[in-house]
Amino acid sequence: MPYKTSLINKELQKLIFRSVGWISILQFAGLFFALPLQLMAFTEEERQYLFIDNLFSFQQGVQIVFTMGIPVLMAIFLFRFLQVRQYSDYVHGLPITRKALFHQYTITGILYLILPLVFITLILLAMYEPFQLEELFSLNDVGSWILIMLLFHILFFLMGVFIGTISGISAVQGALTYIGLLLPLGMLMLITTNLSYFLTGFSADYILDTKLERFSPLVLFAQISYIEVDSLELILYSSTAVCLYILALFSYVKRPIEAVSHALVYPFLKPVFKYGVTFCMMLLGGLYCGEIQQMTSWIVAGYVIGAIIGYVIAEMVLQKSWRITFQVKGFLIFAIVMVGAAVLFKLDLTQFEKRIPAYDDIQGVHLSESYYYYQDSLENEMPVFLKEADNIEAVRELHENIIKNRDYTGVGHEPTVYMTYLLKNGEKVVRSYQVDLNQYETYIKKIEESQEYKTNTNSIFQADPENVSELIIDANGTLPKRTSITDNNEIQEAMRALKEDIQSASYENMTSSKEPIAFIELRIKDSDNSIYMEWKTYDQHFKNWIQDHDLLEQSRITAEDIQYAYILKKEMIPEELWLGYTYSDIFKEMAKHENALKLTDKQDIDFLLNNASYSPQNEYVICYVYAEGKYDVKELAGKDAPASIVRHFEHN
Amino acid sequence: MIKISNVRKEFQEIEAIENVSIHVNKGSIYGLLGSNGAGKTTLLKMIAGIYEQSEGSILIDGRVVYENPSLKQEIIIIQDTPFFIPQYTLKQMGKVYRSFYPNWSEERFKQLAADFNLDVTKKIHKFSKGIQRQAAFILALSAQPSVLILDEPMDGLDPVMRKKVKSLIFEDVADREMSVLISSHNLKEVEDICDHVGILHKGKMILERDLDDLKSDTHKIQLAFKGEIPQQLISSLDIVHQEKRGSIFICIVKGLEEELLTKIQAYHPVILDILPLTLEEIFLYEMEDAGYAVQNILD
Repeated sequence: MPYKTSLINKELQKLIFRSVGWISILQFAGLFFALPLQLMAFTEEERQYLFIDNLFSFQQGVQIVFTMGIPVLMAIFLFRFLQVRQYSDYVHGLPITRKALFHQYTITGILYLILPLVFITLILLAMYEPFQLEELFSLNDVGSWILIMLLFHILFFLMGVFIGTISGISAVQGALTYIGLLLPLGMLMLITTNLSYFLTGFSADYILDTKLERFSPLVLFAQISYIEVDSLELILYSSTAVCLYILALFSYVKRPIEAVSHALVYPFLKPVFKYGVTFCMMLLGGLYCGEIQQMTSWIVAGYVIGAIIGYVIAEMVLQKSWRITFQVKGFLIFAIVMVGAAVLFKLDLTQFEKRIPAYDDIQGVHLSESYYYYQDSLENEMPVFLKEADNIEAVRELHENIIKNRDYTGVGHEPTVYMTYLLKNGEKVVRSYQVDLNQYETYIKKIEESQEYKTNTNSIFQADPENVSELIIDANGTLPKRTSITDNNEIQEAMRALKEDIQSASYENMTSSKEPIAFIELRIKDSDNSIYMEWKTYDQHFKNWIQDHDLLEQSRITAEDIQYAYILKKEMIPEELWLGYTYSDIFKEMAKHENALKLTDKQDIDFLLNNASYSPQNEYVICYVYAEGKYDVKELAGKDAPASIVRHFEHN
Repeated sequence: MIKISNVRKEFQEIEAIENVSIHVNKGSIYGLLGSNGAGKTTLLKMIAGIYEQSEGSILIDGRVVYENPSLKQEIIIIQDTPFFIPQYTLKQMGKVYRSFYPNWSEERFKQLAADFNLDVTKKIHKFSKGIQRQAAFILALSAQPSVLILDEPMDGLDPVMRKKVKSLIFEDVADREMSVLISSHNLKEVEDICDHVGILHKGKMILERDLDDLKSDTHKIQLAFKGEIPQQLISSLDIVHQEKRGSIFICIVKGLEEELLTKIQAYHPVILDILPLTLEEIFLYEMEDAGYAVQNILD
């Protein structure tokens, strides 16, 4: 009998259309609503206020939900025949090889996903001129839209197909598809965050960099309207799609047909799944408890509870019933292996916790409160590393002392010490510790008072004065006082004064929480960039320069601006006043308070202006009255309060 | 024609098969017997090329079935619950079969549909179970396969339909030398059409017989003598089973009828009758002989 070797079986094509054609139609309808219809509906006026990055900005919710949902739905319904015993037996009894079946189904599925996208693109192109869409986006935008949509549709679809070949239940296929798309990112986050509990000094933030979402196409696509997909990601995802196609084909050819209705058709995947889920849930439990309360007992409890929940869930899925018996033996083996691994980590065989690079190996050091400062400096093209010998030594000494003291505060969001060593061989050693900074003040003071540190961390040192077009001084207060300097010579003088002030500032001054006198903005020529800084109370050089140019009056709030001020202890004011009330509410409250101290003497007010600060520990509230109905509220620390004020409140 | 040698299959909860060998000649009908869970369905699905055996070989006309489309074009299996693509009519199913099976005869399809009085434009899943089974037969026979595999085919058919279906199968076997494999848990259902029978129990083939040989070879004989039964006679006969009811001695004996009669008559029995023997009785006694309680094997 001759075997008809036509690649495409017409009846099979009809069958596929009958079972999944509706998904294509649904997808077309959804996208038609999100794009062409939406574009037609915009009025002239609405168009004026549209802010469009790309085509994903239109109805992005609909676009995201459809792109994440439709391809997986397609994979599930297309390969429904794999997950129903009789259907599966029937199809595999037909005279056609599995390879031929797979190619025909998968390629047709891709075609049904592509067609609606192509139609929508054609409609957009047809609309482009009649609807003047060039005002909204370019043809390039349409091109990148179709390219990204095609890629992600095919990628999500092939993931669904691959999972379909290893799973025997449609619901499990759907769930595992999404888990598979999230897994690389999820695992990375779980493992790094948990490692930071185990390895003192391990910086999870450093690993969990901002470009993290590329590890999960699903997460990346959720942010598609404001994240640029770069060519590396395009290549990465395209090759992943190709790999998935090949893997799915291979897995389908080997699939034991008789395993239909098992959660996983390959027996060897069952333990992988079971212990994989247990492991992930264990880490998740640890992470959850660790974020609530960073105590070893909580974290361990999180691990145990997480592991048990994961183990039970995995068993339930595999046994397809929630009424399962807990298999103690398997869990015990898992627990023993995990405890063993934990002990190995704690033994710190790689000397991770003790390692401090040798002085001779170090090119430069970075020290800040968190990874985000490091990242910020990199992004703003500021120098990141300190290279002077004194600073390198100081950071090493600080590091040594932290390790020696082993006194970690470990409480959630307290400031941390973040350090990066740049080694001469190009490698980086990154550590972060949660410690009480006051203990290490000597080292930090030494570093932060160094000229190198100051030049590195203050943007003004990186700016070319010739390039500054305007210097703006905004008084710190609710009076609209503003000085603008545009003369370049004056700008240069002012900048010199500001730099001198920074260079002579002490650590105590730099870290004080005193209210600045004014805010300074240096506008950079021919760009939208500015450098922002503060005029601090101790900035003598700048103050002198301002005075010399007779700009003081218009640049800051002075005692002359203020009629009188009220002072009251913070605790005497109802707490809710701080939340969302206006200054005039606070004024009224203070005005009627019997203990409020009213100051009218200009000298007293001048003192307040130079000593107000911001800190949750402050004791006093100040309310300045500029004029009827014009108020400003500041605070004063107890240690800065003059004797007269302290005395007043002692008596009341 | 169909040659199954030392086939083994094991997979989690499906019925396992252990070291089974079967030979089915071209144009013959083979009955595969066994209780539920004996492994019949698994074995049939392997022969149809749906499952792959773990060990051993399954050859049809010397060719491997699994993943061999040109061979599978000649094989049709009707599952224990016939399957049809959801929402399809008989006509649409016919088109699917026509596209896959080159021997498909449209003429036969129309003829059979008319014979069974089936509406080809009605969705099959709306038919009753019995009608669905008829539809499956119509499709299978229209495809004119050279191997037809039937898993519990008579379930849900009324006696008239059974007869009709059986005669159709006979017709194809006679006209086109089609080979048929039929599984059943009920011997009576298939004894009138099979020429070979195999009994599968817990995945093992415990008995395989040619029915024509079996019937001409085994006899139930009723004897009585004046006085005692001559021991000499008894020891000279190949007795499968014996019992005494008063002075009457009943035994099941193997051998050719002529020879047996001559042998016995030499001892001048008072009574000598050859009684009718059903196939079920033969198996009952044979398996008892092999150490199986038949109630556990066939129901």
